[in-house]
Amino acid sequence: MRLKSFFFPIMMVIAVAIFWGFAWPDILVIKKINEDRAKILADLKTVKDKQVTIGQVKDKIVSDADGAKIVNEYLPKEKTEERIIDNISYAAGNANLSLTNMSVAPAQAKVASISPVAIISPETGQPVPAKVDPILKTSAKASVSGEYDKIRMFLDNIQKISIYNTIKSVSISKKIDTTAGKEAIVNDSILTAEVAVDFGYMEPIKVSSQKFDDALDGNTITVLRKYISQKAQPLGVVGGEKGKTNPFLAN
Amino acid sequence: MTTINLHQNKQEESAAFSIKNAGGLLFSIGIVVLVLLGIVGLKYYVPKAQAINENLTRDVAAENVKLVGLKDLEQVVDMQARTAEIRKNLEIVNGEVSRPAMTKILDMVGLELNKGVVVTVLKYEADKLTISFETIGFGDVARQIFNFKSSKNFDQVNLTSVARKETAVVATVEMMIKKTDVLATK
Repeated sequence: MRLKSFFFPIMMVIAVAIFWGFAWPDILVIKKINEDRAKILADLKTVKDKQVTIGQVKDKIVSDADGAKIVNEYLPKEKTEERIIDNISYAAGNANLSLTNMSVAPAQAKVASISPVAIISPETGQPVPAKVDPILKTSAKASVSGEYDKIRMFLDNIQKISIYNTIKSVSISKKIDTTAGKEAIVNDSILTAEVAVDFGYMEPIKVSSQKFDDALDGNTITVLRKYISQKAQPLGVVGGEKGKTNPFLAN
Repeated sequence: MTTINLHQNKQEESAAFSIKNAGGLLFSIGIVVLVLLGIVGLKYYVPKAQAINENLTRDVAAENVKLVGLKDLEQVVDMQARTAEIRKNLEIVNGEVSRPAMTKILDMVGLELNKGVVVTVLKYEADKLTISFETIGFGDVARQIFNFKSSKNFDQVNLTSVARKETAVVATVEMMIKKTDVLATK
């Protein structure tokens, strides 16, 4: 047999070897590049869609400006002690109660407890940071005295104040007179009530990622609007008449 | 005499054989050349395709940065976070506020009290009620505690003190409120 007879199979073997050694790795790389490109294009589409959705949700907020105002007033961006004092005072007055005392102070921040066992995310294997409550609080305490049904109304008014609130404690007792050196109930129908309420506010959210829902919770706004409207509203704090020629005189 | 034809058509045979072999040779070389051209093409295409992907990745990153920096996004996320916190605080379920209402709690206590029982102190803190009350006799205290224990509104009823004072028997009871029965809007 001549060597020429082997030429074709030899060349085929060489061609296959070259293809396998040099072309196949590049084909695999191209396959990977195409997969990556499909993923990147999908990401790009998602981002573009998000931009459109943000515009739509923003339009919804703008169209319901009153709802946005109610939300921003109910959970304000900063401390509103003046509104708290005004609303508590109004709640007592509206219930025909005598407001004997009130205190308003920033709530003590909770000290984060250090867990002996760190929580590790099963997905990333990294320690999970503790969730921080975004609500900052102002504690208010109010003492009122009056009849039972008025105190009941006062408590209802307090809960429906148009500022984010949580009643921490309530103590209702008969009014006791200790002036004569001996404890004595002043009047059977007159009670004293001490209420501790936490009012909340939330600083503006800093956007660090694109995670957001594509809808606005209109249901919560509707319920909130209905809930706070069940109570008579105070007139709102205005600065009052300004300007004095002598600051050391009453008038 | 037998003649033997020793003439061999050597030239014709060799010509036919070389054409045949040359065709096979060209075909074989052609395959190798095609493979080599293909490799050259791939070597040219791969960096180009990678560069396109890198550009697209940069575009996505730029769009994301643009998105994060959007004032509209900040406003949307802020509003969504506020409504979520309000929903949590008011415990809104099925369009109704379901956090415990103080009036409802007071009404529940009133409903469970026997005649002749007078509450002197009522304290509420974190779903726990502490009630001090006066009665004429110990039997009334027992009946009142039974009422609290059999109430569908209260749980973990615990008598902390009972004693006869000057004019009445004074008892103090602690109990937890069953939250499901305390809807604010009802």
